[in-house]
Amino acid sequence: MNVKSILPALAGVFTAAIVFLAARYASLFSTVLFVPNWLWAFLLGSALESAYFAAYFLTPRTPFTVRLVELALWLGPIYLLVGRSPSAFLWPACLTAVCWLLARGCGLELSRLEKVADLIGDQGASTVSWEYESLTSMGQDELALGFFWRRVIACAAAVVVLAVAAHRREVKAAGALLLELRLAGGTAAASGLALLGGAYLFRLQTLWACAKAAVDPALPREWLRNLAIIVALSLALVYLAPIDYSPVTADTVGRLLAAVLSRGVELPELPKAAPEERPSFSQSGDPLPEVDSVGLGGIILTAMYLLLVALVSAVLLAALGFILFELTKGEIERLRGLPRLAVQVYAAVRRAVLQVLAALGRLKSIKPIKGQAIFPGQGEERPSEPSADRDSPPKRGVRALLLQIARQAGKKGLVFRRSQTPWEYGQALRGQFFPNEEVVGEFFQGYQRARYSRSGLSGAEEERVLAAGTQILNRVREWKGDEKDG
Amino acid sequence: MDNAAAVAEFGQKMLYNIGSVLIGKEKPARLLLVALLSGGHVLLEDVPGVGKTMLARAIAASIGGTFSRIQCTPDLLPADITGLSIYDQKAGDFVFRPGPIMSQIVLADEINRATPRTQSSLLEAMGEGQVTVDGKTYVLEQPFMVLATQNPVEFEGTFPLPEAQLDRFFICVSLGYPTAAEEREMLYLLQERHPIHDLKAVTDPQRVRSLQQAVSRVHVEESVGEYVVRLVQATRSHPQVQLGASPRGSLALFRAAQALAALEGRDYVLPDDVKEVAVPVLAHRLMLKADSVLRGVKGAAVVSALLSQVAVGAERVEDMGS
Amino acid sequence: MLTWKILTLCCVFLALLWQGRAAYSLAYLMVVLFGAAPLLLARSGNRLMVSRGSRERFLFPGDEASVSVALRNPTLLPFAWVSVQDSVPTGLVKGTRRARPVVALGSRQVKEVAFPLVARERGVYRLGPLRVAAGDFFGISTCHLQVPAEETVVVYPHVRPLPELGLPSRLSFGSLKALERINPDPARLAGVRGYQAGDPLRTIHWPATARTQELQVKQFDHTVTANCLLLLDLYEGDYPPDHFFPSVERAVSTAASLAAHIIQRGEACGLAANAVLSEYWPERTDIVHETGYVQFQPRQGTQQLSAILLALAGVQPQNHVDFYSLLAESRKQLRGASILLWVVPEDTPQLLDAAAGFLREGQRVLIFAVERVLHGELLAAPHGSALQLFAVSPGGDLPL
Repeated sequence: MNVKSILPALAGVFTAAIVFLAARYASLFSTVLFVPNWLWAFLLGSALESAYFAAYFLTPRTPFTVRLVELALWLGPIYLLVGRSPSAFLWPACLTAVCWLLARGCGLELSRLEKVADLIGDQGASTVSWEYESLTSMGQDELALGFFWRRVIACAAAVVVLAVAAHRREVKAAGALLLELRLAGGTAAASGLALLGGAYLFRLQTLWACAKAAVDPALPREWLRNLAIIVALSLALVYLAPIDYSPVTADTVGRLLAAVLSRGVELPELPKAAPEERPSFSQSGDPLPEVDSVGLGGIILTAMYLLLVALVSAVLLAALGFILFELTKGEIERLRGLPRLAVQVYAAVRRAVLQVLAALGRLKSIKPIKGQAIFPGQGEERPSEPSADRDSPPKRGVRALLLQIARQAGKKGLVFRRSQTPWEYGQALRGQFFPNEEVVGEFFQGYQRARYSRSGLSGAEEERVLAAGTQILNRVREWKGDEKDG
Repeated sequence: MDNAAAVAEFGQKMLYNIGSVLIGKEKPARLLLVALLSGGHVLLEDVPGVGKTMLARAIAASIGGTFSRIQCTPDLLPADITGLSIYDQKAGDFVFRPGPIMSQIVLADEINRATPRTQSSLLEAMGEGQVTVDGKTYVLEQPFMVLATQNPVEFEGTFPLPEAQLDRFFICVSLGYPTAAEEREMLYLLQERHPIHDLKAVTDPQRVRSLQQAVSRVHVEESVGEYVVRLVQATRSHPQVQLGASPRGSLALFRAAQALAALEGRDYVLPDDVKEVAVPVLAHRLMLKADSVLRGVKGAAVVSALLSQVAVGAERVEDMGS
Repeated sequence: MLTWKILTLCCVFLALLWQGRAAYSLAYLMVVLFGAAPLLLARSGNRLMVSRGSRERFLFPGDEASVSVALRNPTLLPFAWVSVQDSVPTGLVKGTRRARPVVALGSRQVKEVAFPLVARERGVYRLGPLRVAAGDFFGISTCHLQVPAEETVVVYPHVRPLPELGLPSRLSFGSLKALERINPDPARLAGVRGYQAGDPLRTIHWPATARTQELQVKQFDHTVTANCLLLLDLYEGDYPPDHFFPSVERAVSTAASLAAHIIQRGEACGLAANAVLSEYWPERTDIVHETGYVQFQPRQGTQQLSAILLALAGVQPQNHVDFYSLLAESRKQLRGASILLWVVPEDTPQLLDAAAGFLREGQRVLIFAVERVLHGELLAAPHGSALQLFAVSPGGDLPL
């Protein structure tokens, strides 16, 4: 299975979806940045064309004019569709060009990935540890696949920044626009993840081919199928998971800082939060002035603050601990003081997570696989090769009828093998087409007498046998697979 | 009654008679009848105690013939088999004392424990149907059948039969252990008195001789004969076989198929008859290569594989076109 | 990888601070990809079950076979790819590269991968351990396992028909007159004597009785069956250094072919060699092997041939026990008459002197020179002579 053929398509869809998404969010800020729906087709078309062209045809020797003409072929129709208005043309043209360029980058990278085999060559494949180079994740950032990760994450981050900006400015999308945004977001996420998984498969295939590894032919198919399942599950998780539950938001932190600062400079009063402002933590009243209160509410609030500070501190320490842990490769004995505390906090968090996972794992009862042999038998008996036979085929009579039956049954999957005797074939025929019927026995006994005895069949006997054979022939002709009657 | 029907009736009577003594051994008994009707001898490869002697005695009793048993040991002399001339001091002349070979059904137990020379004297009698003692030739009474046994497991202190002598055995049969049900039935059958003592003859040697002649007249269609030849030739070119079956092997296969057809009441041979007797007739005649022996390949497996490869030559289905 | 994890943390913090579905979605995806997936993969990798199809395998030179390894994923998480690498010795590698099968392994799936082998040369080999690598779908993490499953592969020496070795096709050993009384051989009439009480009636020689008018019984020679003992010289110093390995292999192959010939004739055959066994040689209780000696008592049957070939598969030359020491050691083991088959590089005068000693004891000595014949006149010794010399032809060496 050629994975490369679908990767430019994924890259094109992802690029178009991201650019479309960005354009839609941008349009929320200004009506000038509005894009018509038909531009989606241009974005997708230009991205696909650019990615495929770069992946398959573009070389360093391709004239620059060709690339310009290629881009112009997409921009020209847009100019006509916007009514030849340069101001209206500028934004759609800009988006299309960006989309075209982003997809071009992906296509070029795919082309480059394929040339790894050429660059390494046979000698390289035998001297360079291909497992280390291709299969381990160490140094992933420096490897060719890092391009796709950077591209996907950067694009996603850009869209997220736009979406967050819109969210914080209370610019709300609703109705059809919301649906469009969700569809485009889902498409971008799905195609982006599929692109990452597919590119990884493509890169491994290239290196495996170079190292002449014996890759299971079913691997790409199974890979893509499992990848699709994982992408679907991931998206479902992302859509179903709760959001906006954090007690510490940018606003809260801002207010806390403001409160601390106001205390330090003795500000008379904190600015009140807007009544409609989210999150709800800030809407619980004006808590800060109550800090000095000795009432129950004040104590609770103080405890909450302390808890919050402890939580934030623990998170920060754990994050710092993680970074230090990675930097020191787990050798925490070399650390002292706060860094050591940070790593210990990280280790405690990690242990806790692992214990939770282990507990979850124990809850699942894993049943052994039944009825599946690890080492199945080595195949079945193969039909023997036909060998020469000097007998000329009979044209009529019982023998000819047997040949007709064998031919018809052969079409239905019951081949008359050369190493089978007629009687054995008759038994097989009975098993498949005529369970519990004597007609087969009657015919084949008659056949045996006709074929092997000195006297042969008398006229009446032959008629009876022929009648039985004709009945068999008709039954075999009419047989439609799973039919088994008594 | 035609010849085939007479043979079939004989077979049924014999099998019934043998079945009253030996439980669950119909297939080996049929093969022994095939050998008897073909005038051949039988090699029984099996462990002790599975009924080899009883089978031989039952056959002898059923045909009303004489029976004798030779327990082969390394110090067994040829004269112990053929008989010897003893000097009668009173008469002042040599008197021939016949050996056990002079019976019609002879059981040579553990033949591979006898020395090669003793084996040769036995096999010579089997091949020629006569023995020569002190320059005088004694023709053995027909029907004459030797049932030799050998233990396939033990090797120590044995003199395995050379290939040329194995070839003289018409078929090689294994009785095998009975099933649990058969064994239980056997226990109750033998609870008081062994039924072999009450076994009555169902025919006589003269009748057996005439049936042997009848069997030789069973029709073998040309394609079946060619199938026999193809099978035997295939044993000679098989990659795991050092020495394939001899022409004596193809003749034995031909005759065994005739006998089996007659026992089935047919006066013509089917390829199925050839297939049924191919393993017992051919397997012991093959000399396998050393590496095949070490791989655990058996002659029976080679013949079985050939049966599923060699064309029967019944019809050419592809000639009908599609 | 660290960069991506830090980036994930940043995304999480930003999502918590900024709020909004887009930020949370990105954070969730990053956590799933860079946080949960590597942990799950490592956990599933540790539970991956790898097993071999067999523990021992026996091949002849030129045979092709495949070693099966079963992979079983008992978890729900599918592996995007699983690569298995077996430690296959060079003498068994088919083609120019070691096979590296790669398969996809779904959840709760069992798959079998095969490593093709070709038996190039005699020897006892050890396969394993297995190195298994498995990865996810995005190239984020991999896990590596080393499974200590081992398998022994025995490649028997090449067994050739005797004519291929330049030897007579029907080397007959027969029986030999013994010095000790073991069994009276009815085939060897030594004479007659007067009847004594207890003599079996069947041994009475009636013609002689008639002539003498007194009971006479036959007197037989006493023999044993041919107990053939192969003595294989694998002392390094006896072989020419310029083509040491071909000569040694020819000697081993000759010994194997002779053993097969003798045992297939139904006779008893033993083996003694001044050799060491391969370190991977599978232990057998029926073989005595001390330092520098490998010995088998003569026996009949296929099992004996199998045991001899197994030993010959594992023998290797050594440099501290010479052939004369082996002869002296074997002489202690000899019981009654035996036929000694010496497989040596050449028939040196000292070797013939040693053979003369055995001849005086009533043994037959057949010398098979695999490298060079110095006493050509012995090649013409008549069949059945007590001392015979055979030149083993090098033409049958396998160009494997």
